[in-house]
Amino acid sequence: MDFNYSPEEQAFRSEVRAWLADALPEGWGRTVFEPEDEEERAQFRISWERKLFEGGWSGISWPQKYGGRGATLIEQGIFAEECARAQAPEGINVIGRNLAATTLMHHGTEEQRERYLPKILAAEEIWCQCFSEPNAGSDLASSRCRAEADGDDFVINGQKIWTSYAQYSHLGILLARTDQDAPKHKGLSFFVVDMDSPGISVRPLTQITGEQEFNETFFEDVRIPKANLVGDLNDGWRIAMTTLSYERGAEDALARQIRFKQELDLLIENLQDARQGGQKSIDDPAIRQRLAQSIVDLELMRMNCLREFSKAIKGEKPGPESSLMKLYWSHVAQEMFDMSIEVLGPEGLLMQGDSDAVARGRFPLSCMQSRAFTIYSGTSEIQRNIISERVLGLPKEGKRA
Amino acid sequence: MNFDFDDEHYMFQETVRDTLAAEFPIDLLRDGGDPVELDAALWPTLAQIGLFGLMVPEDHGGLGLSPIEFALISEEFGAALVPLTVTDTIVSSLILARFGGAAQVENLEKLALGSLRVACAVYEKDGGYDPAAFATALDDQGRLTGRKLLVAGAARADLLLIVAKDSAGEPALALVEPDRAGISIVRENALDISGDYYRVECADVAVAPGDMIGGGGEAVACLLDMLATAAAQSIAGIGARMLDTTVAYVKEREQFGQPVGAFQAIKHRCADMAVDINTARSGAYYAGWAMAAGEPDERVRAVSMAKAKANRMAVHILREAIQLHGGMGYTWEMALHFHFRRGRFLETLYGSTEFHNERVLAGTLAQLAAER
Ligand SMILES: Cc1cc2nc3c(=O)[nH]c(=O)nc-3n(C[C@H](O)[C@H](O)[C@H](O)COP(=O)(O)OP(=O)(O)OC[C@H]3O[C@@H](n4cnc5c(N)ncnc54)[C@H](O)[C@@H]3O)c2cc1C
Repeated sequence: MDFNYSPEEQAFRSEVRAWLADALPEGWGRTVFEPEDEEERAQFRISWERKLFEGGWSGISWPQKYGGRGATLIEQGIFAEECARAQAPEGINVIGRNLAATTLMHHGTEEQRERYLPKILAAEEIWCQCFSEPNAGSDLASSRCRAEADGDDFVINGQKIWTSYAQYSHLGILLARTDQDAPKHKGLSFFVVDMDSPGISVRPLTQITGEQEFNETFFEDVRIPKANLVGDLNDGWRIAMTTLSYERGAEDALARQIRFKQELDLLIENLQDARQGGQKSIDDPAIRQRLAQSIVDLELMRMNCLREFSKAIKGEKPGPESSLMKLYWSHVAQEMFDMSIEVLGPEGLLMQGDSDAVARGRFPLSCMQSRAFTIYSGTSEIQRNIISERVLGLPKEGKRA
Repeated sequence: MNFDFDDEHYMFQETVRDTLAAEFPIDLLRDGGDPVELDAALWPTLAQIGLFGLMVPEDHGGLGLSPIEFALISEEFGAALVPLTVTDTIVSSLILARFGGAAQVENLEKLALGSLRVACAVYEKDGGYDPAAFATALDDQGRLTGRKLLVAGAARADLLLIVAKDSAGEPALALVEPDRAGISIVRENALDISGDYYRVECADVAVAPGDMIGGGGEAVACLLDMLATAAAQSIAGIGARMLDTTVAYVKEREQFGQPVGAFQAIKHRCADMAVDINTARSGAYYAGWAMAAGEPDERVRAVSMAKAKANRMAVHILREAIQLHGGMGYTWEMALHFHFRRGRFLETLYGSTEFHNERVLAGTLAQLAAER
């Protein structure tokens, strides 16, 4: 066990830090911020990802033959920390990098990897995840969207929903039913779909924050070549589980932890300047207790990730244990944001654009956004099912003795 | 950067676990046996596998390991309810090795062999958790007066390690034999009944300069931090043991024609227990590292994070463990109460959640100020 960074790791950190300082505009994070308009912001984030790629910082832990640097997970973590420290913009192709690419590395053919991975790295192709359906959310295996073989193609018909960033995406990973008669888990297949194909229509849905990130996605006689099948026909459920274990795993969680910690630091900074009644907010013992609890919760979120990294470096594969990560972080982060508006008092309720707003209205917005944490990537209830049944070995629901 | 233990340390943990399972039957406690007897039987076995030398440097006959590796052992101590006098003795060896004067360091060889028992006399009535507020003190004639509570194994100790203010009013550590004039030791009736605890009263006890441990306030801080770290680690072990026991029970126990563990209201709570234990472990392991290798500021923050989390976890897990056993959970026979008692004891004795939270916040504010 060693929490010190090796000279190589430290050199890597300096290199990242210097590059970021150079790549970000003067005054970034202090006087210069991301565009407020959603569409402009999306474009801004895409161009940032391209810049990262040009600098050689995209997919750094990927194998070199797919354009990565073969960096360790620890270096990947350092990279994420430095990005956060510089308040670098978030990418928009998270689904491409973290879900599509990782799944293709495990289950794709060499041709598929060569076709898709470099363009994910270059942020030339943005990806979305077409899994959830109106009637198949938690019970994802009951997906009904169909894929029927026809000559050299599959023909897709059906509807997906909550498809984040579909409006910006070139490609999607798609779970569709290829065998109507098989048990529900055994009749699904995993595809790559070109989102510009004729017959796909995307309709944005407005979220509780007023933002429009997720969409309804309709497939009407959409033809996709057979070469776009990932893995074996009807083996899609198993492949989707790989996708989900990355979605819930430590790499994803660490990147989030760093963002959350930044927000918590920002909250503390604001409380140091704020007063409530006669007293400085930061001197209120009740507020101090609540802040401390979130500090502990978030620091330990990082520790959980680092422990997982060390296991992964030793060769352990991601499995149902990733649900422990996701269930933990989603709740502590939600609690932190719930706490944030309470401790700020009345002015904590002012949103972006109001001159009295604290930290440009960051906290009430984050509080709203954090509702999604316990829903996406599998709801907390589903994570608890997975942990209890697959990690602890408890009997399945409704199983009569 | 590596947040894992070496395989050999996991193997040592296995050895300790197996030894404790064989040598430390809970039946004796359940049948009303005195933990003193248990301790008497256990001590030589632990000495034989070299446990007391764990943190004694190799040139003093120990294994030369650090609080990092002790984490895994301390977890087993929690799970198996090893009396706290064992932990106190091992922790004392670390403090003596780090801060002891020449004569005090002589004790390390005997400590490594397990032929010396040290009792840590720390907390006081009305004293809270901050040693700056403790009343036990030396006067300018070098006479020690004060009353310590909940001192594990004191009646059988060869040496007492006492937290007391020195004549300048600064927190310090004195190492004295319990048979010195003016010291009286009385058994207490405490919540934890898998160990024996004593009130140690000092009335004008003569303490020579050579009885004082070097390092002053830093030695006291290290002792308290190491005891809190060990407590957090033991709580992780208690949590894990309680979850195993609970999962095994709800798999077996049937109501309404199915194992109760198939009900979501039960299994989801087991899942939440697993999450909480996993996280408390991360904190407890990190605190071990910080005790061994961290800068003092980071050590304080790491220890308090670990203990604050362990405390919350202890309350949660112990509540659920009994609840999910139903009426059986409330029986003396089922014996969950021993872990409940020990867990809540560790939780409350080595710094409350609020105390450690406050240290975390103060440390964080200082860190943020330094960065700015
Ligand atoms: C912001 C956001 C972005 C998203 N992005 C994507 C995306 O890009 N791609 C994609 O495919 N999906 C995406 N999703 C969808 C997400 O994965 C689903 O919303 C989620 O899996 C839950 O499905 P559902 O909405 O149908 O809820 P339901 O399954 O209908 O659940 C309703 C409630 O019932 C509970 N419940 C359901 N089954 C059980 C059970 N067996 N036991 C106990 N309780 C149960 C749930 O926990 C929940 O509380 C996104 C969702 C959000 C909020």
